[in-house]
Amino acid sequence: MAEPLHTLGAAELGRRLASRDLTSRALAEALLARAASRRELGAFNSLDADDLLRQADAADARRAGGRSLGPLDGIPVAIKDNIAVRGQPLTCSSRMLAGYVSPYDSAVAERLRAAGALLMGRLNMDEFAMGSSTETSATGLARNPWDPARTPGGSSGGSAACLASGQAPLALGSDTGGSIRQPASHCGLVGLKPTYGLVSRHGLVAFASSLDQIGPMARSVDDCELLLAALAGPDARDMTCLAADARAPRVLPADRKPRLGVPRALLEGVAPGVRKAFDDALGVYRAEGCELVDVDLPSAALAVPAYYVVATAEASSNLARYDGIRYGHRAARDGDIVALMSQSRAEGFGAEVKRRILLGTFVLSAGFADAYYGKALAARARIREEYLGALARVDALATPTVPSSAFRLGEKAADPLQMYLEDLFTIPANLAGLPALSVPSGLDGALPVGLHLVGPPLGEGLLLGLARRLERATGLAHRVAQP
Amino acid sequence: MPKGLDIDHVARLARLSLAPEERERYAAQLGQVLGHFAALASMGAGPADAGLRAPVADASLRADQPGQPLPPTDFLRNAPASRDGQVAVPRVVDDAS
Repeated sequence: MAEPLHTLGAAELGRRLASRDLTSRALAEALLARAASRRELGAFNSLDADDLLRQADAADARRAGGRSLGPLDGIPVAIKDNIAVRGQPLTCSSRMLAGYVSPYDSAVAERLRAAGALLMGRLNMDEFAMGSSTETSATGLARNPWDPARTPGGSSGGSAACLASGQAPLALGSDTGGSIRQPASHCGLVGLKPTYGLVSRHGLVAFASSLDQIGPMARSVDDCELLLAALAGPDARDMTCLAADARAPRVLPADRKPRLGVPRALLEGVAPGVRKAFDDALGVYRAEGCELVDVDLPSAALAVPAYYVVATAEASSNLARYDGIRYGHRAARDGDIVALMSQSRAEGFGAEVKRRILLGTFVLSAGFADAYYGKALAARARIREEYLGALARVDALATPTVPSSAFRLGEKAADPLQMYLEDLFTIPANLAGLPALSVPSGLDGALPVGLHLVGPPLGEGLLLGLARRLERATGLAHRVAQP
Repeated sequence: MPKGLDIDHVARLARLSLAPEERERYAAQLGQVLGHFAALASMGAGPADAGLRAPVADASLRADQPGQPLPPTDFLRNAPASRDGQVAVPRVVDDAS
């Protein structure tokens, strides 16, 4: 029996489209039907079927006219709801932005359109990307397709649920402290946070600007690489986006064995099933001829506190724009302007966003900024130095992506600190601006577990090459949860 | 609660109205989270220019040239209220003042 279209990866779909064995319309219709049948997973905040089919027909017309735009032409890419797509809702899963329609395309939307990709729907997420479980979404829970009683992770939980259930072959996430990699790990996907500056942030709703990056998520390493190639490029509208001449990629050396650094001191507290998958992955690399090297990252213990100071400080500043005046929710109240703003924000933001705004405001406030924000910046600089130092001796650093597999919905919702510790392994790459990915490394019972690899600046190709070796050995590519 | 955490003052700075139960809950939770941040306080001084060390590889500015802005109607569509091509806001100044 032919494989259902929703189980195929982007590279295979591209081949079928190119050989005219498949039309983009037929693909779009199959995925819309799949999305309708898995609605209970809460992957999408909204999905404009007519718009998707219009884009598919345009792709088919291009191909019929011999004007194909490349390997992504006609292939749907689902988009997280904090990335602007002209004419589509942009809610960040927040009451604050309910009803907001983006007046312009983000840089990545422009690049995907130029590659012929179909921009598909608005994916659920933690509110304003603040969370690790998609439970802070104001639009409803997202569920893990491998066990719907569990979280798909977050903040890009809708992206992960969408991919793991076969509702799209490719998806965009954003990653401020692990928001692409942690859900990729929990849902058995490949997710990559690029080097800071590789992908433009123009049109990404800002959470913590010095940490945020948009990145690709997919069900295989090849598909992740295909999507990354379409996203990466210079953009003068984002001053932190690397110029064309600053993009020389780092690759694995051909004249020696790859070296993988293992910070063993950080592995204490990792759940047994996750630890076993990690040790098995190291065994694969050893068998592949890689050299495993113990590395010491003494300041990594400071990463979680440094991150939550820097990220909340930046969030409190970035989210000051939501004042209920020019756009967003406005409280029904006349009179005092400060009271109007304060009430609009109280009604528009959810509990986690308020918590982080309060925390960020406190750590920047007079009398406390030196003790918290200043120290966090110093810790950040130290962590970056240590990681760059280690990566001068090894090609990549390996840990599990998350200390445990996907937890039950509600299990950590009342304890923000426990939720923040989900990001222990993923945060340092954001603080240091380094590329990092999660690739499936095994199963903890029925639940997927990911291996986390961090590389040197512009080492995305190097990381994808290492991930491909593991993927070949585990055979964990292209898995779609049934039904 | 860490010394100096005045939740009412912070909420005022953040322009957030808090209900009484929120006030208590956030004060307790922030206290717990800030307690975890104590590890930062124990570290020595960092590099003097730490604040400038965010991983911004190329901070050059784009050319300062006039461009074509999006039409105002695109923006007014998202305003909570608009009138005569302007964002409408509640009255915040008394006639007498």
